[in-house]
Amino acid sequence: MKPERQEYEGHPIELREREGEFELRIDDVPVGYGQHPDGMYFLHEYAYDPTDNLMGLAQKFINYRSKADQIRRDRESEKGGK
Amino acid sequence: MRRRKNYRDLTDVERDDFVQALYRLKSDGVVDQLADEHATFFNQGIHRSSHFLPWHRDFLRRFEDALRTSRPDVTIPYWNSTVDTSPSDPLWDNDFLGQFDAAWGLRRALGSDTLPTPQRLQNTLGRGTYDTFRRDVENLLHNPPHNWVSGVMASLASPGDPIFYLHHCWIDLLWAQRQLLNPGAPFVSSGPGFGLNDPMTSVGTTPADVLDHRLINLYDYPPGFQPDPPQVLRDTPAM
Repeated sequence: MKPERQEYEGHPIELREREGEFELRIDDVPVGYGQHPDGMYFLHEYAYDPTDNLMGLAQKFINYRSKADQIRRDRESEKGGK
Repeated sequence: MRRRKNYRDLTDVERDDFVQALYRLKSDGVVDQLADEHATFFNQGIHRSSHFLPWHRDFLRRFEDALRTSRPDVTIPYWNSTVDTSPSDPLWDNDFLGQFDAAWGLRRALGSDTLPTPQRLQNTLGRGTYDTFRRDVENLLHNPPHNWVSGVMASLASPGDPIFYLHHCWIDLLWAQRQLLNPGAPFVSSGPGFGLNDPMTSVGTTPADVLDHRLINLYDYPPGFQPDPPQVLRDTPAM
C-alpha cells in the first residue's frame, strides 16, 4: 500500500499515511476499514463486499452509498406526498 | 424441541411474541452487546473461514436462548431472500420488522443491492464439498442481502438490525439442507485453528459442538427436503 489520491465521480478518495498507518478518506472524511486474514479489505459501514484493492473498494462504496441515499430520498418524498 | 420456520408461516401470536421479545432484548442491552461482539471479531475468523457457518449457528442459538427468556416459545424465523425480494413484502410491514427501522435508527435502504436468485441457490446447494459450499454460501448468498438492506445491516455491527437473525437463520437452514443432500461429507478446515475441534473465536464452542443442528432446533424445510439425520463428523485438512 502507498499514499494515493484520486477523484471518482466527483468524490476525492485518498490514502494518507500517518505514523505508519494508512488512513482512508472519502470526501476528506475518514472512513473506517479493515482487512481479513486472507488480505481482503472491507469498510466498517460497507462490510459485505470484500475486495483486494482498497481504492477500488472505496469506488464501489461511493456507487453503493449513492444508490442507498437515492432510495432513502425517494422513500422520504413518497412519505411527504401521502 | 425448537422449530424454526419461514416468517410467512408465523401465526399472528407468534409474530407478536417475536417482536415483543426483540424489544425486550433491546432494552436489556443484549441486541447491542451481540452487535458489538460481531463487530469486534468480524475479521478474526468468523467470516471467510471454515468457522463462518458454525460460528453463526452458535451465535443464533445464543440469541434465541436470550429471546426465550422472556417468551419461552419463540424461535427465530427465516427470510428466504431468493423468494421475498420486494421492499413491499410482509417482512417489512410496520407490524413486523418495518417498525424497527425508525425505532432503532437502522437507516435501511431496501433495494440497495441485488439479491441472490433461486438458480444461484440451487447451484450453491449442489456444491460437492464443504469448502466450496461455504465459500459460495458466504460470498453469493450471504453477502448480497446484507447490502440490499443497507444501513446497520451492511455494517460490522449488522446484528443491531433484527433482520440479521432472519437472514442468518436462512443461511443456517441452507447448511442443514446441504448436510441432508450430502450425508457423511466431511467438514473441511480452511487452515490451522479452523478445524472441526478448534474453539471458535469469542466462544469456547467448536464446530463439532454445533455440527448437528438438530441438537439445537428443527427446521420446517422447503418442499423436497425430508428431515433426516445429518452425519458429518470427520474433519479433513485444509485444501
